[in-house]
Amino acid sequence: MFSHIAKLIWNRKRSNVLIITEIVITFIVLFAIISATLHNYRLFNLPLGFNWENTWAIELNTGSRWNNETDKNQLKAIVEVLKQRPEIASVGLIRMGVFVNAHWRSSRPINGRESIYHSNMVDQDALKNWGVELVAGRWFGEQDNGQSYTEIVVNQLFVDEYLPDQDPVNFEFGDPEQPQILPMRIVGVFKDFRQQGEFSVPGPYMFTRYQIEEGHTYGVREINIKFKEPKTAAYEATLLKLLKSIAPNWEFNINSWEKRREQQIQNVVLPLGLAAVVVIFLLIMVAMGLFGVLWQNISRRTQEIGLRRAIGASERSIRLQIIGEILVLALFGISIAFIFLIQVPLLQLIELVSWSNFWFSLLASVSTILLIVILCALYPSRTAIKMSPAVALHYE
Amino acid sequence: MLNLNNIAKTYQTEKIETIALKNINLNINRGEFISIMGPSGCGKSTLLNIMGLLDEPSDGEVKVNGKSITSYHDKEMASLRNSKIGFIFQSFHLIQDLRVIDNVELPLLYRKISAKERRRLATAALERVGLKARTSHFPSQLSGGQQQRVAIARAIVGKPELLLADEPTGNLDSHMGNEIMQILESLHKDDKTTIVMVTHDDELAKRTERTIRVYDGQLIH
Ligand SMILES: Nc1ncnc2c1ncn2[C@@H]1O[C@H](COP(=O)(O)OP(=O)(O)OP(=O)(O)O)[C@@H](O)[C@H]1O
Ligand SMILES: [Mg+2]
Repeated sequence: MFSHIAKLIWNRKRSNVLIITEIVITFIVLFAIISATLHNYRLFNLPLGFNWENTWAIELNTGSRWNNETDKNQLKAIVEVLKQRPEIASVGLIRMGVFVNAHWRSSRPINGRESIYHSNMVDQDALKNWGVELVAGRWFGEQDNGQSYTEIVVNQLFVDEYLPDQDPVNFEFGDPEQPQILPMRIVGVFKDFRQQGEFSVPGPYMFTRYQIEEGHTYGVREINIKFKEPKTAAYEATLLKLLKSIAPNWEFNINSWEKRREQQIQNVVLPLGLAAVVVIFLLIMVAMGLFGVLWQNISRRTQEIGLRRAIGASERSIRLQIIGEILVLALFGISIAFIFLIQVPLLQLIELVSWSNFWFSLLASVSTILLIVILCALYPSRTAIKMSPAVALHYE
Repeated sequence: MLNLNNIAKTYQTEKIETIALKNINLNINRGEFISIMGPSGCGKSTLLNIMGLLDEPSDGEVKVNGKSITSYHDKEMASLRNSKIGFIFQSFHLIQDLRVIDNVELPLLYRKISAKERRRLATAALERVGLKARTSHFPSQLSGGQQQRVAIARAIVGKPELLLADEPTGNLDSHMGNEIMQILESLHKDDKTTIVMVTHDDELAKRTERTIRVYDGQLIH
């Protein structure tokens, strides 16, 4: 029977090439969207590392150049005023805010090995106030003032990656290319802080301490205020008025973390949703293509089924033949697609596709394609199979 | 070997009910060569289809080798069609995407036979109908007479006891029709195959042993 099916497929190769091509394309797109969805789903379920509830970000635009006297005092004044408001639980300064796509990549050798990490800057109490969990050591504090090191805290991944067999607390590392700069000292390790949100890939992360007093020229860009109770948008005007009264020459842009987060989720989910629509469209195309090619000549196909039954094929063997035919085509298409797809994890073309993701997505795409293809092949034949052979033979 | 008892067949279409056959009683004995004649639309094909187990009668009983097949399921019917009966159609019904040899092998595909044996039997059947040289052609590359001979080879490849032919020469000119008739006669004489043939041709009918006349769905004697 198998060689018979092979002959049929070979002799119908012209229309079959079309089906196989459609299957290859659909399979690849289907695979891409399943693996992308799976990848993002997994990321989404990883702990974020901080609480985003009831927190607003005030983005600062301090004008052309930071004036170390006036601007510093203005910032200090704002923080002081905000801290005193009864509705505000905490005020935290950060260089690159949460749920925005800005980040700072930095590198420096650790134990002779180049380490790459994201670096950010917060004031002393911000992380604690945002619910970041400390797993070793301590947060930065006053005791770090005036020391011969730059105090930093790093996330657990940083430790796992670059200091796996070492006590990270109080570990110091300098920059050999810039010996005049103070070495960094890890004073504490926190669980994680996925600044760029739930869909970001966790990686080594580092915070240095920001002190208004020191007046870094590139300072902070955001003041984040955590409220004791949820605040409505109406509060924004009150807040803006307050800020403007202290710093009339600055521009402020106020956004809740919640809104930023929603926006970010949308930025990921929307394209995926669109891709899903495309995939559904492609799947329909494949289904139609199969219907078309297998059944463009429904009378011929019905007559063939009638003939086969007339010469002694059982209903079951006809179903098996139809499924066999389409399975061979589908597996052919899937194999071609597989040859392309396996390159992704093999060559690590896209870091996002891990092996487990790969196999799962492959399995899911294969099942989907097979299911559709089998249904499309069997569905139109069901009436032909149920007809008496005499009727099927004369079907027009 | 085949008994039809009180066979009736009605076709139910949307509004009208066509009585294609009624009150048919017929026995086909082993080794007979029978022709069926009658005007167009009288029910000849319907009768042959019921004999060939391609259609179910609305009423009555069909017995194959003395056994009623009324209660048979699809699998048993398929096996009977496959092993006992060979069918030749007016319009050949070859599968266009299969070569001649593969078309002839088709019935054997539904038996437990090795590929080698299938090929041997199919080649022999093609030799029998004088088409050995055309085994790897596609049906579209053959003349009508040649196609019908392929169809005959397919019908006899499984060595059926009963060969049913529905106007096997209906689509052919008289010369080719004669060739087909000669093949059927030799199958009858040399292989002792039981043959029932529907025909409109008096000359061909005369060459058979018995002619059954159908008129308006009934047998006339
Ligand atoms: N599938 C069907 N549905 C409805 N009516 C049918 C069907 N098949 C046959 N008939 C009707 O049954 C009657 C007998 O048809 P049948 O094909 O047996 O005639 P026939 O003797 O073979 O005619 P011809 O010599 O033209 O082949 C006709 O009136 C025909 O219209
Ligand atoms: Mg007829």
